Amino acid sequence: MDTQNLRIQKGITRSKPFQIQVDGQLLFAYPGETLGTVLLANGKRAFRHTMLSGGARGIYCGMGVCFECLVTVNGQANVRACVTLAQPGDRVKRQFK
Amino acid sequence: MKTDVVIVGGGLIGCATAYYLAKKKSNVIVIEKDAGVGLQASGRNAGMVRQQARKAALPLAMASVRLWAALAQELENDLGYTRTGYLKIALDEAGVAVLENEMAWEHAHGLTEVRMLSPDECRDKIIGLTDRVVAGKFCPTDGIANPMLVTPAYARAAQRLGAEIKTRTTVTGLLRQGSAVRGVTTEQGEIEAEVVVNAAGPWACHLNESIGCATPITPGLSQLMFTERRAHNLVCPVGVLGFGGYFVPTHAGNMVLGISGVPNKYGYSTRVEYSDITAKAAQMLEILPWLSQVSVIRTMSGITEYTPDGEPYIGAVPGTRGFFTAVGFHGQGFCLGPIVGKILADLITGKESSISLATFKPDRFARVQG
Amino acid sequence: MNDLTLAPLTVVGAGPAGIMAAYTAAEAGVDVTVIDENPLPGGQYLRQSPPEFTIPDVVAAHSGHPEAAALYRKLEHPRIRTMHNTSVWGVFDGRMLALAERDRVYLHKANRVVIATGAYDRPLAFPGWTLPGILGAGAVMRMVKTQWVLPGKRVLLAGLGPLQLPLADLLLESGVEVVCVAEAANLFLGWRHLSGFWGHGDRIWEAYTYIKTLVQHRVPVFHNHAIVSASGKEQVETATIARLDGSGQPIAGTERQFEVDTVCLGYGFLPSIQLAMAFGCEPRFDENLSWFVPRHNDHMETTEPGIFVAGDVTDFGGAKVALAEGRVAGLAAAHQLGALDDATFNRLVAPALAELRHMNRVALALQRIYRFRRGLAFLASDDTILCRCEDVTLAKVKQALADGAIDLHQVKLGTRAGMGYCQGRCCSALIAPIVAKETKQSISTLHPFTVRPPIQPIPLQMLATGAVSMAVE
Repeated sequence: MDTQNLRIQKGITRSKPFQIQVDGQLLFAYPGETLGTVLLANGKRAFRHTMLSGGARGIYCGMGVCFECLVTVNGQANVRACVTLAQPGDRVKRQFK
Repeated sequence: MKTDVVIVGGGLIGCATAYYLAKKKSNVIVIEKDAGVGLQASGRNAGMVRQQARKAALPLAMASVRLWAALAQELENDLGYTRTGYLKIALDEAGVAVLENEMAWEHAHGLTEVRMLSPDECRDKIIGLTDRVVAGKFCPTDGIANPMLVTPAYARAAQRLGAEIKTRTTVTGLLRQGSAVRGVTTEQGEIEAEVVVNAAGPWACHLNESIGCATPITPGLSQLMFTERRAHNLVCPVGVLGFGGYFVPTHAGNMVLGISGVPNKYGYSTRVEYSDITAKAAQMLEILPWLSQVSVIRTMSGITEYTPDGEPYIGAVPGTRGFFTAVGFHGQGFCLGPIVGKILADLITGKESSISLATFKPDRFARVQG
Repeated sequence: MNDLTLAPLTVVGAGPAGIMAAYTAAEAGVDVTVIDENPLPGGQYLRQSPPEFTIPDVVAAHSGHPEAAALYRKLEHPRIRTMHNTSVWGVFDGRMLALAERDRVYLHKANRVVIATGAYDRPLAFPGWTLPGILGAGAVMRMVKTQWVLPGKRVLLAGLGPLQLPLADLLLESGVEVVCVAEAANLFLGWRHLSGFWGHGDRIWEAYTYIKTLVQHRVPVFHNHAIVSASGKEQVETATIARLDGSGQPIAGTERQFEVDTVCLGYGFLPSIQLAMAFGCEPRFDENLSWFVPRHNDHMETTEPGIFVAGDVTDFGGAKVALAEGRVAGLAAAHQLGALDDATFNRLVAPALAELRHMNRVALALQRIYRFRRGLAFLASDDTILCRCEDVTLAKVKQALADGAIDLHQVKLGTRAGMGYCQGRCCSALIAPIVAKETKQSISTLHPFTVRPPIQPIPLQMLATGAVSMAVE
């Protein structure tokens, strides 16, 4: 997937980006973006495997209701990526088996 | 309608009794007021199957744990039963004495696997346990089970053996002939039986009273908080002396954070109190600091029936024929359920109980009263 | 800190309904506290882009709604205090709301309450529906309009209802390839309700402009079709749609498969009824929705005296209906609080009720045309997950029913469905039709899962702050 193009460019000017780490990889994030947006904009769809069946899950409701988009942020497990703003220096780990 | 035994109450005790009776070829009908079995105290508890820290009921608990060992196989149903062991810790020297006294009692009854743990041993077992721990007592044969599965499993096994379970049916009174109980009346009609068992917890004490055997029970409130499922260090249940709370892992990876029971001024309501859960959350973080970022996802109240001496009423109701009761378990019913069901089935079919029930006589307070 | 001063009116939710309820009551002289879990007002429909984004077109920054800015400003009323980033996680002792604000919890003593908690995407269970890349339509809408990110490059839209068209339009305008739109409604059955649109020409015109865009982009639209399966390894790669029979069940042999990287599920919304249920408000079964909403009277009061509802939490009519309901609820609450006398209340509420009736006519027609079709409840196969939180499959639910469970609660106990993070918000409406079918009951006789605190998960550290505030008190 041509990942960088998933950010809409027309009609918006973003502020100066900062970097976050996702599974050791450095990614750019823009102020105001959620972690879910940063992952999605970089073509990362699967955020975790469930503890029980091991199935892959990603963003589903996008409003904090379903708890499917859980990731580990700075050591804190089970954070909802869709409602959590990215902060400079965040270390994000997808919860894969 | 006619049968050998009518059991009032489709909780764990009632369904276990039905199963062991059906195994002995008795015709059994269980009558339950709710839409299903095990929906009250039997299904609403933290799921601990422990022998430690029992008083008079220790021999029952030990015998029950022996049944628990093969129960899933016997009932052909996963019960989420695991012998995780159970760790009880003391935070001060006075508590150490309490633990040592308990251990002496437990050893005297043959529960010889119980042993004291040093603070380091406690913290090796539960990584991240508070530095305040002074001593621990551990019993490896204690464990956990899934309360939501056990009563339905007994009910289904009993049904496979021919027992009948009538849900959404309320017993209104006893059929009597002189001193003999001959069955029950329900909202849907009479059921005649050779024997009636009252195992309906606090909901049918009036049946015992109606026959002159008051079994006083008052409501307790045991609030439970359930955490999210995640990797954690709680490898076994942990109780804390003088703390008013306990920690239990579940088969599914969640943790149950229990607030010890207090008298419930709202009856057998399943409410939780804001002040209790917030205060206990703060205290629990002192015991297991790593819980701080773990989320509570559900709360509920367990239903506990308190008796004046903390022990249940089990056995034939004196002064009558054909009437048995097993109620008032004071929070011990989940662990004891299997053995009590088996003993009742024995008593009903004319076999003596292998364990003395003297402490649990149903009329022990009735006599005092009058 | 504790917040035990009595708030005469508390409004939960700062979407169109909540804002209008708060403003109307404030205008009548009532002090209002508005509680909203988001950092900015607007709810889901009028959601705002983050302030860090520079968006020259003001309307675009407000999810494309010209009316939004004026509505947000209503919260600046001197009698309104708005608490952002704050959620209600429990109701204690009747009217004490337990709040979670950033990293602390405390009690808020409420008197009259307007519940305007909105709705969320209705889940639809079919084989493969849990794959990453399969999202709710509302999620996609918010992502594109407020986070300015596209959900993918090749999108299949499957759903039921008029919101599919603007969404397809939005995606096409943003440069996404829309492989097809599968609309589950059978418009031949729906035409009978078109009389409801009399006097609502703007709505028909709006629909026409969307359809025009679809035609321009040569996007195939399949009416009377639904998604029936999706597959892929770690994310969705193909999606299959099929034509539906009269009851809404897919017809074998009519399947069409598409290669996609994204599926957008727009099967309508479910109301966020948890708070209303926590208050003890009685639910009503809505036939068109085939699910439960809080029951209310003409003045938007629920079965709990002094507890009102407004907006999508109870009636699906879109933003205009939500505004009108908010106005009625705000007036009724102000009247109960003594801020409006009988005559003034009656004078003010009459036009609001008339407006609501006018709009409800079209809302009801739409609800009927796009009523949830029975067959859509049975797309899952045995290994399809119904409860996402606890990984509970259809087979497990059927087993629990075979083992004797006869209602939602017993299925929950037997399978753990509904015991996870989302507290059954996603699975209850999926499991209920299965329970109803297998036990030969009507869904309307089932009871949704009991709601217990916390309505949403609270970390222990945060819960513990409540103890501190109690001590201060």
